[in-house]
Amino acid sequence: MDANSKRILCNQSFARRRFVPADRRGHRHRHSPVPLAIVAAALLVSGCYGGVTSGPGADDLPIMETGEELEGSEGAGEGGISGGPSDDGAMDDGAMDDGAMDDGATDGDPMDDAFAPPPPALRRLTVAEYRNSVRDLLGVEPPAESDLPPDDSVGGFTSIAARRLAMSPAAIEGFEELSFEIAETVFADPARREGLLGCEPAQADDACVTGFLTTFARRFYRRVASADELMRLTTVVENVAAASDIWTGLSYGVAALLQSPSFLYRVELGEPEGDRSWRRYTGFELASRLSFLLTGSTPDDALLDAAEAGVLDTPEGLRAHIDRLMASPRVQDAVIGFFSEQLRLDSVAKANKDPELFAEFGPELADAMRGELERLVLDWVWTQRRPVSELLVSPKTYVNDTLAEFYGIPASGEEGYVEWYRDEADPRIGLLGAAGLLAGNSAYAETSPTRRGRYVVEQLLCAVIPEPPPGTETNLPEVPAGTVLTMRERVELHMEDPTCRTCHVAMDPVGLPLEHFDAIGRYRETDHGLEIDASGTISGVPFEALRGLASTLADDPRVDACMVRRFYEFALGHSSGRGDRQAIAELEVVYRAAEGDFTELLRELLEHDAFIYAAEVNP
Amino acid sequence: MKFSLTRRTVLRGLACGVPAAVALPMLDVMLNGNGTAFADGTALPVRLGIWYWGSGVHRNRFFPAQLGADWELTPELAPLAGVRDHINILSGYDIKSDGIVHHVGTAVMKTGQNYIHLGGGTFDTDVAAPSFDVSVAESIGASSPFQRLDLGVFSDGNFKGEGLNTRALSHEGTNRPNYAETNPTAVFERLFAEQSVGIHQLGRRSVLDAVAGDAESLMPRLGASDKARLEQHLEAIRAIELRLDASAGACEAPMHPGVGAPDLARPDMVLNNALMVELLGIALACDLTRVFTFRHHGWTDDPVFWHLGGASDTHHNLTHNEPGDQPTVRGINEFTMGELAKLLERLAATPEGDGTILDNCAMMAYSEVSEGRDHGRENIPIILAGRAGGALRTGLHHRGNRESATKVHLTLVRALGLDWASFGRDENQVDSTISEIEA
Repeated sequence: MDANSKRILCNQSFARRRFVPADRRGHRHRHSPVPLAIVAAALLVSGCYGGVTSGPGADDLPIMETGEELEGSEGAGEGGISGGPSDDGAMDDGAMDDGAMDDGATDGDPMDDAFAPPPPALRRLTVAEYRNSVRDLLGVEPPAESDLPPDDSVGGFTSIAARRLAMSPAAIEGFEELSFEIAETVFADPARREGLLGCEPAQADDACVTGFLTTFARRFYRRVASADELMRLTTVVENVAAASDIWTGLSYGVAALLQSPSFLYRVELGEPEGDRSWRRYTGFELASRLSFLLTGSTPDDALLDAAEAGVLDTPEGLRAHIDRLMASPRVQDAVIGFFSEQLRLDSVAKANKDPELFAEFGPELADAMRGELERLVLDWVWTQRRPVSELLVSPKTYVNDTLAEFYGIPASGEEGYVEWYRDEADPRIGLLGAAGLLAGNSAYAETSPTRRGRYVVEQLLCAVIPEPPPGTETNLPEVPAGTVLTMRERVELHMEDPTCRTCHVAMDPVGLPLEHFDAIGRYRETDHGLEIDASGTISGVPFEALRGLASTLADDPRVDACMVRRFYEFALGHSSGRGDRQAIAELEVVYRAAEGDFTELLRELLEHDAFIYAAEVNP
Repeated sequence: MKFSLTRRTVLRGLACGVPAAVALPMLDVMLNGNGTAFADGTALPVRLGIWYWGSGVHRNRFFPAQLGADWELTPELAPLAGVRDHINILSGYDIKSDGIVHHVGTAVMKTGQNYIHLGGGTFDTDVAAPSFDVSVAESIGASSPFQRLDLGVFSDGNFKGEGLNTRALSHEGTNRPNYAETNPTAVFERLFAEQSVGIHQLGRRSVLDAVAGDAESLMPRLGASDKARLEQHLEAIRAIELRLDASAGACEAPMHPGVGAPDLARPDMVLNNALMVELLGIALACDLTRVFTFRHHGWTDDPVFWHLGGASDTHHNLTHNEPGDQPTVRGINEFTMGELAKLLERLAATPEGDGTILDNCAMMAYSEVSEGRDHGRENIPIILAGRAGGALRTGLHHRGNRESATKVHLTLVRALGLDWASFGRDENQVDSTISEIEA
């Protein structure tokens, strides 16, 4: 261990960290002396080789639009999804219901596209939802993010993973341990615990304790607790109180609430409505759905009261509460939460760069880049209420002095970020011109046209990178020793390999035009001293450099359609399939009619059948 | 089984110059006079271990030319010299399915069948069935305090649109990954948590009862996939309860490993591996678990091997981009085998009965491709270690006849005494074992 890494290790907190880099994690601590968490992805980790290809005929290949999930294609063993654990989830969420990859041109029976709401599912509280709920329910500072079982991601979203994946034993052990720490914090403070109860408890079955458990069970479970559930809670309080005192007993009662599956999961299953084949979410379930989506937290008492009174079962009642919640300042967090995941705004924060080549790239610069992206997006979609497609060509951005120096523009001398408008001479423009995305979609030591292209194709267009043909092993030509090549030349060296070309033809011509920006997003005139050819194509349309890519994408209707579809998936925690098409199309109409006002899209979704109904439960 | 420990071995500290004392149990005190079984007559445990690294090897520097017992160490196997007689090198075993490179190998080596698609993207793959270690643990791990352990040295925490299949080495099934824990402190705290006493023990048990009741009452309303998820939740609750009831005497806790969470940007892979090896060694010696997976680094984690000079890019990229003889990739391959050697040496140095812990293990180490550069699915590099309590021979290089690599899994599971008729599905299904390495 060299001196430097030793210092880093020893500077780290020895405090316990229960939940740890099992696979993901990697929050950045703003003031940490430790370099940025997480090694960046380098070249695109596609099925093909990381570098990659383009070539004659490349532009002729269309990018496929995703209609739905990909079914396991050749070799993926359809047989594998019948019987046994493989039936779980993958089938239930409609992910596998279509036999073939949909290229959008094979629709036969229009009934295939008939609307079907997503099936119901338990939805694990995300890290943010758990923390917000604890804060709102108990009035204590919740545990640090890094102490919580981490979120996962499936289909690009935490919310989809939360509805699909099982919690690991380590996660459940973690929630168990946390529950006692939280409860102890609450009950160690006499003023706080008395405030929480509002009465003087004497024994487990007195009116004070019973009233407390009833009220808090409704809040924690987000519905009225059953007699059995209250009995179980009372038993906990009683058992512990018998061995100690009533306050300790209540503390364990609260720990039981914090560990209950009815708290840790959002149990939204719906119930039959008349002879309809769909299930309507109950008033309480709708209260949860609204509250968690709009405020990131558990429903307040007003919402629970409305649910209990049946108010949310009527369109008017529902709308009144949507209006009320839409005014919450937390809604903006929900919006940025979506774009943060969809546009991968965090990728720069997780990026790792060769310190010998990029000495200036450290936590401060990465933070500045992340900050620009967040402000840029929030201003455009939330404050300006403009569509994402236009954001690609917006000259407006936000810089702090760190970033201004990096961009070579005048520093404001002020704390924080100031608006900055790019002029025509600036090679940068819009979202894709922000260094954070260029750096976040590069490799460790060099750019990655493949990764940048994949970002545009997948995150902005919702298109699918075709799967490589099975069977062939790649056999790549070697770069002649001592030869200096541009990234484009290296990438095109491999164009003759048909295996690689299948996928990379969809990505590389989209990423190569960004070659004027190096691996940390810094402008450069040359690549290894050689002239840069910044031409590219997307879906057969040729263009030049970043500005050309941006204006081509701004005119591409797929960009806004992609945002609508992905927001639908994000909000419902559901990878869309054929049954969702109609709903997504309706939402897209509204979004376009509202000229890209995201709040209109949000509102429309909340009142849509897709939000209010669930498909039947798969037995 | 209850016993008291009278001796301990103290190891010098590994981190930051802080001495970390680690108490090792002497299992002799638990054994019968011959040291061949526990005093109460139950057999010594046999364990299954899976050790994985990403992006393959250089075939021509990995596989020995000679077959049988007289194989000679190759450059990439040289780091395993100290345990040469405890291992078998297998060549000539293939991944028989087609599919996305890297993804197909990871899925087949875990589950004996190809991946499925889970989410929205081409590369968002998951497994179709429980992984091998999970199925085995249901038989041989059921009575252990920890049915299984999943450890790792490096994982970068980025999702990158690559599915669960590429990010976990163990899976309960579709949608149910068991990620490797890469933080030694977290492993330590999980394995050697202080025993709850008094009110807290009573309170925890009482709460767990209530939680189990809540879960059971929810169950009838759920669809099949949610049932499976909640069932897993309930199992975890029951496991906590079991450990609450377990006697504290099984093993004395070692000292805290004394490091914080790994620095994800520049993890000290050597230190992390050393700590994990130590913790795993103790966990096995104390019989806390009989099944483990060890994910050194995955291909999609993009590890940069900082400490190896010249390793300026991620392992996966280097396998594709480094020109010529790929000296950096060679260095990484040799380093990785050296890290495997540390675990094997540790287990081979821990006596148990009339042999060592390693003798009572059946371990398989492998990568998901044969050579990262070309993504070969033929000639998957596989190293077996341990004799499964005497069921396997070691010290051999055996070459298969281009058979499915799942034959190795079936050989191991039979060596562990389990009566599986076959393993794998479709083109990966096998019903016979590698008799050449069976004792």
